[in-house]
Amino acid sequence: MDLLKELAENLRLGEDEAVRAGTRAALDAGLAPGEILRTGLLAGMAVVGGEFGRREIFLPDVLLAARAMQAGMEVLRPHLARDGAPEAGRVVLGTVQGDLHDIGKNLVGILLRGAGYEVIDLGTDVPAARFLEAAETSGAGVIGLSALLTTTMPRMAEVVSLVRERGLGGRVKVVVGGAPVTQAFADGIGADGWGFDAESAVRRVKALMESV
Amino acid sequence: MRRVLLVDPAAVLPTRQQTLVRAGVPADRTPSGRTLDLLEEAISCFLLEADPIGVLEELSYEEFLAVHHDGMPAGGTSVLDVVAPRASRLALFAATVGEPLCARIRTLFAEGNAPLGLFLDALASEAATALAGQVGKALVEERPDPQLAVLAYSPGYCGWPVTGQRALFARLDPGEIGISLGESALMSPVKSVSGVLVAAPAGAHRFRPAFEFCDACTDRTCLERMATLRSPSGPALVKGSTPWTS
Repeated sequence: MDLLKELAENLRLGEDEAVRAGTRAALDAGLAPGEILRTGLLAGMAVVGGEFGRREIFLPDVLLAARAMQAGMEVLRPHLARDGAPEAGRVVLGTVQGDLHDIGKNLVGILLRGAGYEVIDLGTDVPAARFLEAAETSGAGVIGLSALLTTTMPRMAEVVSLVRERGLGGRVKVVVGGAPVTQAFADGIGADGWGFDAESAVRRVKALMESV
Repeated sequence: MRRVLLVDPAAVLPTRQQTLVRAGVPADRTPSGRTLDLLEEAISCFLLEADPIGVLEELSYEEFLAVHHDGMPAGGTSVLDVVAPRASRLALFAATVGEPLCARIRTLFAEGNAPLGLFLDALASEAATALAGQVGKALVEERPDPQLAVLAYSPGYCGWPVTGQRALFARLDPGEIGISLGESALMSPVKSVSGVLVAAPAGAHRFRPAFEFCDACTDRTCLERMATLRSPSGPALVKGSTPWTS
């Protein structure tokens, strides 16, 4: 099996140490970092995404694969930067102010990284202005907001308003999610997208990134 | 009556099936071997790190009415307007699986071990729900009555807004067991539950889910809860309550 096929297969199986070693081996063999990313790591994640979509594997398996993807990216990232090969894009992520729940936000971040995005995770209890600062300084195309309480959902509207006030609406899209958040709520506050769950949030981010 | 209960982690350990479902593996599917290995690792970690504790305080219907009223918006109704008047006994409660377990989950995610973090989070969430059941059991164990079924009702569900926790915390003061409430009505540690335990004949817990607030409800776990009450000679404690947890 060639190096990149083996890399993709080990990623699919969630074998993080094998993926780390395989990525090093591919670099040592002189393969271009962008090629290793596309034909090895992202190809493996695409298979995982397909199996997940067909309900052949489930969230824990996807997280194992995403962890393996991260292991490969840790090796690859410095070479990608040197090579000028772009990652899929940047996303600022966080749980809104007043809320400390982070499992949903973490899962979205992991799946986004697995899909090749650079994620700037601001953590929990994040004020609206910090999301904007991070998006402006990093050049992120999407801000992802999470809330698990009905009391903190209104904070999402503050971020959307700030994006508009600063005239960033054309460049920075806002995706919202969390147990009490609905499509109707997202529409009501003028968000660009709503994720029912982590996987649908990632799909929405991908679609928005392509439109930015 | 006010009681603090220290609970053995093993007593609130969820079943493997419950945990798998909470972690996103459908009940009718066979998980991968690596998934099962992760689950076992998470169970060991849970038994080591969990420190379940709860507090309950019995109160009269009139006292509960005041707490409930303080937590409701003007003119609002909750399912407790129907259920609580039929209760034989009422008690406010709060319980947590403990901050060390919550910290461990955060650390796992921060260190990039999300697969194990996911399972530990699932175990903690299910255990918090089970813990409400343990506290409910304690409410009736001194004066057992096979006719009574105990269910927990929590702010954030069935028309009782999550902000209702402010009045509940003001009355119960669960700081004694290490649970505090933030400005946004978020409990800390995050894997905590609170609410009112209603001990009543099974029929008293039944209602038609046709309230205004039912329109916005996406999980309808009330139906599961009521289904567990079908047998008139069923157990005094009914598991599967819907306390506020994450």
